Amino acid sequence: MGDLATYSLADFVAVTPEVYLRLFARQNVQLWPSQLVTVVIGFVLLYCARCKDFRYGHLGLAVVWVWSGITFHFNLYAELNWAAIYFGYGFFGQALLHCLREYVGSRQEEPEAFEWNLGIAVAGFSLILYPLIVVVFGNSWTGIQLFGTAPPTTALATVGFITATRRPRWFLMIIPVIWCAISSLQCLAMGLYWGLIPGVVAVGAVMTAFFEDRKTDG
Amino acid sequence: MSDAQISRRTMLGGMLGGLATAALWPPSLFAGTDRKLITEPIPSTGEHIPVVGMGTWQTFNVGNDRRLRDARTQVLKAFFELGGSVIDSSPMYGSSHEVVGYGLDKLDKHDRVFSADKVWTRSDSEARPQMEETKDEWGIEFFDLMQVHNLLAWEKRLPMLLDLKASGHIRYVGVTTSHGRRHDALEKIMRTRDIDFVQLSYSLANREAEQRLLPLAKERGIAVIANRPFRQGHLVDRFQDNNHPLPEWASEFGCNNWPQFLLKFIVSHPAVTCAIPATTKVEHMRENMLAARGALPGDKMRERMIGYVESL
Repeated sequence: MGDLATYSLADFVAVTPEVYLRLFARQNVQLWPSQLVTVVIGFVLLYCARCKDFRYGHLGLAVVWVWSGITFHFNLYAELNWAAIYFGYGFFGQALLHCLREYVGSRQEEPEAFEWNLGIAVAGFSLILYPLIVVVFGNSWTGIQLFGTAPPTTALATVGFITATRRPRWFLMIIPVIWCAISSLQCLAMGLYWGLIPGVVAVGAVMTAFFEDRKTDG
Repeated sequence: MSDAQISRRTMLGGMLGGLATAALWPPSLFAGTDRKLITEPIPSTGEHIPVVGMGTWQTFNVGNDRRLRDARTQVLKAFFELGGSVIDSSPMYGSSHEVVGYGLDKLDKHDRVFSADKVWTRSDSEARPQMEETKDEWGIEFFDLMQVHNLLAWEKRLPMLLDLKASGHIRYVGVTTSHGRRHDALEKIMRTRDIDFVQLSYSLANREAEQRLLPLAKERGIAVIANRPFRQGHLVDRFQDNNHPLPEWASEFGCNNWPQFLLKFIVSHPAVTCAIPATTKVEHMRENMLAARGALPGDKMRERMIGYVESL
């Protein structure tokens, strides 16, 4: 156990920043033009969340989590990082949870206004602004990280959708927040500081929603 | 046609040919290679290997990215052209094995490589298949050096490797650590087991190994491979990016830049056999490999190097 203290974050990242960023570019090239479908799904989900009618929305999220898991983790990242297969299984697990959530239905409660606004803002940011931030920081357009294919964007948008929709929902937050944190820590280790955004925003949104829930319940 | 015309045509053709050759030939790649390549003997056999080899952690882990595979092959090409042979890798390094194998195939350099790999598994049943897989990927008949990576399950792996050595499947046996971890266990193994190599972290910024392990390696006749010579580039960044000047006296032992300064310090230690910097760039490979040429600093100069770096 004493050895663990000698490990730094960089010891757990087996790739260079160049290779990591090219993963997204390769994914985009391989999948083009199917990203258009998953991005449209994202905007449809955003519309549904905004209308406070998220029926079948969880099925849409289940589809994108499976798609992202297969096309990124299993198909690309797994050849570079032995842990990627487990990340991929985690994404499948999240998809199952969304299916379960769709099956269980929701309590007849409107989402609180603050959480609804917060969730919409996070989801909208993920769909529109975060992919552009990646390009703004000097990366190629081909490596744009879109909802439905790129894991960090998909996970962060999911945090937004779940925050904006009805309970029960905390069990749906676990994997997306964990992935946002892993992704951000990887980027931190590689010096890609803009990559901290998903982790910071996801944790911030979840904590805010949690304390708002407690205030409301209390 | 007069002799003068033929003569001018011939001269012009020769000049154009020379210019074309110069344009295709990368002279900067080979500047400095007139100095003799420095090698060190492996104590257990006396076989000589160049004092600068190549690591592959992160740098060669590019997966099936064809563009990057070809780029790494160019790095490998420069490595071999500049006299390199020791390539160190591990199953822990993702696809590095496959990418090295890709490069070896493209360059047809299977006979040039001094292959230094590692076994990295807790599972007894996975150890041999893991080694066989890498051997196939590199297109070699046997590994020169097989090491227990980070001492993982060394109590079982080391006897297995020693058996393989005895039966001629590998030539040398070693163990590795990095970051200064598990030096006590490493020392115990060095004192009690008949190994040929140890690999550990040693650099101008990390000289802990000088206290016990390097003298012990010298005493026991164990070759030393120094990993993390640049601390994953941070040392070079620290000196170069902060515009710290190279001391003038560095030229006395043929240093033109900080990577060479850092590498020559490491490989000039009497116990060190080889350092294994990793890089993704041909130009950096050239800088690294030129550290294996020319003079090496002696004891007094090494003290001076330590003092200079500590003063920065």
